[in-house]
Amino acid sequence: MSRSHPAILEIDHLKKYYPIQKGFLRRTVGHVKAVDDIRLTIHEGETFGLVGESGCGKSTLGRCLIRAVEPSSGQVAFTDRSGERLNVLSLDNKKLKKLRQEMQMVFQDPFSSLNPRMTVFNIVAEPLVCNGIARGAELVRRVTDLVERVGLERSHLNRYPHAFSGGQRQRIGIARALATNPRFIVCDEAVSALDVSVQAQIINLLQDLQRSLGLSYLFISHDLSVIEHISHRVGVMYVGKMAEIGETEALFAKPLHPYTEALLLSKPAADPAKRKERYVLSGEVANPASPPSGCAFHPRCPYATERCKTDTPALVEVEPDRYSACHYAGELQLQGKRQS
Amino acid sequence: MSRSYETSSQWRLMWRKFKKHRLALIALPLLLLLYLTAVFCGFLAPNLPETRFVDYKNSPPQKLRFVDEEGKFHLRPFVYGYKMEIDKESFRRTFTADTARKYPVHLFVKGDSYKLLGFIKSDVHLFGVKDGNPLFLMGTDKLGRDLFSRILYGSRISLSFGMAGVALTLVFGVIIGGISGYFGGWVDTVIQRLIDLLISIPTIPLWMALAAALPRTWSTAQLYLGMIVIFSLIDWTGLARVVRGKLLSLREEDFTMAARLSGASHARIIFRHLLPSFYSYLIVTTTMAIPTTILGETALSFLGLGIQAPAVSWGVLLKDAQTLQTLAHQPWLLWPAAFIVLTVLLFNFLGDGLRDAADPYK
Repeated sequence: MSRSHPAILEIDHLKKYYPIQKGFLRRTVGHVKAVDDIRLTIHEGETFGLVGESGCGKSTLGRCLIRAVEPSSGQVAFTDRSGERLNVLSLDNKKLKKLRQEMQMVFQDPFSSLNPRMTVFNIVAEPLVCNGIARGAELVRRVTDLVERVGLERSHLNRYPHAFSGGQRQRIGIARALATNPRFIVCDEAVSALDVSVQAQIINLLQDLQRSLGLSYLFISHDLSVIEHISHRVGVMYVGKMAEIGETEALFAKPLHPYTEALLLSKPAADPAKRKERYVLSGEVANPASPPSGCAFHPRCPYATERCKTDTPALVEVEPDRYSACHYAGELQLQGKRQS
Repeated sequence: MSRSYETSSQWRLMWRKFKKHRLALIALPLLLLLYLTAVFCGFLAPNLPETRFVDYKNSPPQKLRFVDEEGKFHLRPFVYGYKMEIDKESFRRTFTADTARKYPVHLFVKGDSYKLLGFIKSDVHLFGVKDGNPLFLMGTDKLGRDLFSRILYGSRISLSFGMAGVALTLVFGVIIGGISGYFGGWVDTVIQRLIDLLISIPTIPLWMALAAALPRTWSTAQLYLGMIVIFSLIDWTGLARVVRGKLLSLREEDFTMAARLSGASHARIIFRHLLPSFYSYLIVTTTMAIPTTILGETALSFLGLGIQAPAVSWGVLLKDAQTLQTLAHQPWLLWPAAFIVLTVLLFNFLGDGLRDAADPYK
């Protein structure tokens, strides 16, 4: 799924720094490096899973791609339907609006992402109306199609969001994202707020849509099992930087970064007999306003050496299609996912 | 859950919640009644506010009776005339009911002519007694003017003042608060510090200073407008804060971002997403601000700094009840206070109910 498919999104040196301002005059006294020098390629038809602890910058990265948040610097190249490579960060408002027809977003919170004062019809129709794609009977037909496509009924169109469950609301959000017929969708923790059984339904829906519409996803989640299930490739983020990138199976079987190992091991095993050997990741996520020197993970890393405290490791291709930002990526024998 | 619930708009959900608030549900029609009274005061009042009944200065309220002194029941209510006695020592005139003179109260009586709504000339009053005989349901003041009629006429200024004052406050509050919340940054800081400054000044002295600055030569209408401006200049701060806070939180809501990503223009986001989300809050804040404004006008007029006689407002009427002496001998002059209390209470009940209903999604 990776090299054989053309890239749809190429991210290069992407940064998002939030200034920390103090005092009445709002002097900038430092920066929160939410996204710090990310390089990443997402291929057509692929689901790229982005995983990491809360506050590691996953969502900010997702939002930067669609320019819901303005990145500080870097490059994002998006290949549109006609094959043209667009420089996302330098588009003017008009072209950005066009880009967003091909690039959409599904939000985490199914409650705050739908305007409670609009009917389902108006919510799903909004992108079509705003982009002047359809009106009148055509609009009704397309909205009905969309709603049915995500597993809701025509009779739901006149209802308000308050009449729906979390899973149904998320379906409405997906229908809205699909309205302009996009090629790439950022799913920002799209199932995190849902019950486990409902999560599965939404994931299946996303996978069905991917197959039938040829969509590419950036799937952001903190839930390893969800990521493992849905992603073709996975990126592990830690304090604004990419710790490791690799194909899902390979990465879960044999991580190349101690942080990935720690995440995999901290996942509770299904078998209670194995509980004793449970590994607990000690310490807190580093503060992105003042990340530790050298490798940001070194204060929590069981393998850390003096070198890790001073040298910042770069993300390098350790094995074919396996990238890791650890000085000892090839040397450490790290444990993969427990067999359960 | 019924089908109607699922397809209910925000307003219908609000109405559902509002209905559960008993007091508010009672307050709403009563307030409407008060305002209708103010609009049709000419028709409802038996007398004109400025007519002096020189023979009946300081007369106490008449009782509306159905049963006469012989115990006979009359279907048509009536009032007794007054019998005046002069105390030989204090020379104070006291009025008692004269059971010998009965004046039946009729509906749609012809009396003094007035202009309904300011332009329809009429001389028909809803009720009254015939042949120019006295009917003072709430007594008269020291010049012999019917207090009940004066209260009804006074409600025009007092009640409309609340509405008009708050309307202007709303304009200031929404615009300034909107700028503060929408632009943020140093604009926000400056506006917020200005609000802090304004709030820190004690209101009554500030009102007094500003009201004293209005020229005494101004007509009633000018004074009225001037006072509205004074009130809103001081009062907008609270509303501006509400608007700013609400805008700040709404800007962060995902549906606002979703709309932006859907290609919605700024105007569309503001008018379809942001504004509808805080209409309800505006209504609540406004409702709660009306009684404060009414009380403010009353206070200033009571102190003699607001609306000036011969114009009547409830505050102006209360000015007559300033001394202990009048309170002891003419306690009925406190009737306007009862109307003020009633209005303020009703507005607070209504505001309470609206606040509960304001966000039907929580």
